[in-house]
Amino acid sequence: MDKMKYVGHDIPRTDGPEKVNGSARYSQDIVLPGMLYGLIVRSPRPHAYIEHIDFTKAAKLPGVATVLNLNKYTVRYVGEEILALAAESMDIAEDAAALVEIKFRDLPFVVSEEAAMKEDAPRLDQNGNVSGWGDGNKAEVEKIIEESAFAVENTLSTQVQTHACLETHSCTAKWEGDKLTAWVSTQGVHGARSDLAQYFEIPVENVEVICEYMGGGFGSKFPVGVEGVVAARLAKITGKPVKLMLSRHEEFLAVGNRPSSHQHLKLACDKTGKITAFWQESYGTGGISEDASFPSPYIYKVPDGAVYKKHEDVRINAGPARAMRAPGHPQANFAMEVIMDMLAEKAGMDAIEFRILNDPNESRHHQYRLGAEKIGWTAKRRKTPGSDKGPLKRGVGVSSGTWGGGGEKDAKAIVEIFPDGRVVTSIGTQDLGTGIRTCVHQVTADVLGIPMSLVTPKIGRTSLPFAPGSGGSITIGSVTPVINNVAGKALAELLAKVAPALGVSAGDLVCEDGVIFSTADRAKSMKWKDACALLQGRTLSVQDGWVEGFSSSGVAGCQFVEVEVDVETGRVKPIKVVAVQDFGLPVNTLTSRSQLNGGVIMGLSWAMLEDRSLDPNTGTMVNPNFENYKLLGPMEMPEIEAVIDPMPERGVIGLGEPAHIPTSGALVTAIHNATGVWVTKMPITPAAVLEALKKNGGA
Amino acid sequence: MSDNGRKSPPAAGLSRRGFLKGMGTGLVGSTALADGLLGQQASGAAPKAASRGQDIESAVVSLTVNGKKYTAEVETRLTLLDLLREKFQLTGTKSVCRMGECGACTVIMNGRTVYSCMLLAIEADGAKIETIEGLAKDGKLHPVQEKFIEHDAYQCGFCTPGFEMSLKDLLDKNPNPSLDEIKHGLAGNLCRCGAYPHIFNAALDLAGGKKGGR
Repeated sequence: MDKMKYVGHDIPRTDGPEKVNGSARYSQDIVLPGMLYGLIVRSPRPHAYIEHIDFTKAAKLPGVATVLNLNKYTVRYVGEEILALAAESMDIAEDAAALVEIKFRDLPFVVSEEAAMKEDAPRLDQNGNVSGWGDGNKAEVEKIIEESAFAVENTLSTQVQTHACLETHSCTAKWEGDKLTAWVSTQGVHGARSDLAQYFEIPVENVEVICEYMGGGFGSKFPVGVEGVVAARLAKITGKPVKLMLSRHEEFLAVGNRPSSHQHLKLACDKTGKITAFWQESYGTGGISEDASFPSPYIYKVPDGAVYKKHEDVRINAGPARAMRAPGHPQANFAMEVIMDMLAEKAGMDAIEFRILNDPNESRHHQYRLGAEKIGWTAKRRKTPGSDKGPLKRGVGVSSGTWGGGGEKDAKAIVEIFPDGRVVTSIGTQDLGTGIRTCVHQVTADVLGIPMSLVTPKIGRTSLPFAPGSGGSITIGSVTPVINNVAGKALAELLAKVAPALGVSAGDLVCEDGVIFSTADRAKSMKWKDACALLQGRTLSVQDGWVEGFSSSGVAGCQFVEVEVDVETGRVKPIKVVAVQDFGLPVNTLTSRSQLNGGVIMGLSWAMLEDRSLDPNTGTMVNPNFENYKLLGPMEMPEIEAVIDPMPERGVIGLGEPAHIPTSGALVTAIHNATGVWVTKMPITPAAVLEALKKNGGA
Repeated sequence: MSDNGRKSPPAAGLSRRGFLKGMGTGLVGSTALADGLLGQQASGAAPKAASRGQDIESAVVSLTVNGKKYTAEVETRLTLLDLLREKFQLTGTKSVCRMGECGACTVIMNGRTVYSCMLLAIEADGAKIETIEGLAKDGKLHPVQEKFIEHDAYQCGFCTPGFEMSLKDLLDKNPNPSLDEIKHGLAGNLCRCGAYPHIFNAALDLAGGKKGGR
């Protein structure tokens, strides 16, 4: 890997042609002969006993193949699964669903954290709605804060965000005897296979899960889920293939979200600006599921014994949370960066200098300087926030994040070298849109020293060797060390065959640009294809696993936002974003910039627009569609500068999640710099900005 | 059972079928609709006797997709999107919101971009449709496709066909759009992965513009 022609460069995707010409087959694109369409009937009530279900009319509707009762006695959120059916078309399935009669006995429900925390709130769990934990000594930390030179406090809130993958959760299932093939939109084909095998009590080798392409996951597509199991059950019952695709509405209600957070924070520092203490009381909700926690104090150094935390997870009658892009970190970042900026201002220090003083990560120190230069910090940071004349006010803000992104050690791959010179690399990973298929392709070609055109990467199905699920940004760290190792071993085996033919020692042989030659005597050489012909009709095949030394974990990044705020309308317009990110050795700089852009955009979208809004009167989500659950679109795009901070000596590290973390913090601090007021609640809508201005006696 | 989020229950008279029944004359009504909205000539497909009830529930539609003639008997409530995807297996056109909110199902119909989820199959009777599968000619990628690959103007790729059709239509009508015009031309399309900056780069490259550091 010394001479890297492909790794570390801008390489267009291997699967680009399929993606641009419409031939890439996603789970939802599978059309099989005689296929039926599955549909899940969901609860319209937030909390109820199911007293009676009558689906005789639905079952009798022409074109309906079967109705499957999921045997639920209680439902706890709008959108919870009750029964499923399969029909000859989606329209017939929808007609049938409308004919299902369900008698509910409604129970009291609660859809806000504050209401759910009250003594007399309806209980959603036998242990109550609130489960809390704490850390540190409150009285001692309060004493330190009191004795510190400077201290600030504020209450910051982040709202529930949904994954909103463009391809909804879906599964197309087909049985042949006791063998199941399932085309699942999943972040882990091997995990989905285990889930299905376990559910149907069949050996894993009886199940094949296929996911050649998937339309986004962002953390919501790990388990095969009720929808996957139901598709397979309907297929088993009817004896026909079944395609089950969730509607956009169902996607919003039932298959995951990022929990909310409400953080009352206090932060103090000494005269020099060194942080002395951190105080937090917080709560949040992940719907009916637990764990709305987040890491804190986020990335800055607080002395031992000077941290007090009390956090409560609150259950409400809403769909359960699932992992979402850097779980917990964006919530932590948003609140921490606000409180950091407030304290820097109080201590009379520049926001960047204050961060460098308190940030133990040295990588970030140079990133702050690099990003500051690119955004034009010195010229654009308003000495007096809100001091621009006129209603259009500009400012800049800064924020930072961290993530692990190491590799799992249990992945395996096969590299096959064919006598005609072609090479196939097989690994059962999956490409969420991150570009891992292309990385497998690049690394194979570079290790072998041959053109990419000779290599075919195969991924996305469980008949290929095991690779872990794609979560935690671990895919590249789990996959590329395996490819590096296995391709290296395959090359060594081939060189051992070439050495006697050239009359040299195999240890002296290398392959570059498709030519094998001796480093001792360059005249002794052989073309790759001629070398492969020495295999005499046999395929050279090597299978092996992960090795240490080609990946690591722990990344640093920071982002800067320049913003323009109209203080008359409250409109926030991001002008420019600079995202500086370390992720070790960038395997593909082109797709990495795509991921960095994407992280920033999802961050801005969450900070400005996205909000799962629940109606306290009916317990239902009032905006389960893209009309009212807004995503950032082309018109709102600022200029984005994605800056890769390469550290190749550290090996490969994942990038998907860290790219998304710092954006909201950088936006909100920029808004403060522009307007002089703190917007303490997301999403930062025009109304929220106007409210903050009014509260502070602004415009 | 209340609304499952797919459409209002039939009782509300707002389902696609209910709507057509409300028109009173099934196919004739919808042809009038097509004439009114799209200025199209109906092909005069004979309404077929209904298989269920008194209303006209199915009809024969003929249309040209990517230069190839297709004829199919369809339920009158079938969308153009589902006709393309489920009946003709042209699955490059994606189904994402089914409510005209995201642009993933964008196709070009009689020279205009339309959301195929918002049209009935019978409204496309006699129409000329271009889908993503027809963008490449004789195995050679269209310039829009080439530039999408070169600039990595996608991540998961699910919104890509819709964006490409919108961009092709924009460039057909305005070969040298500015960045603002590009943003306007693509405003009806959403991407969750955040590929917009690279999509703009691809568009600017096609428009002969500069990247401008995005």
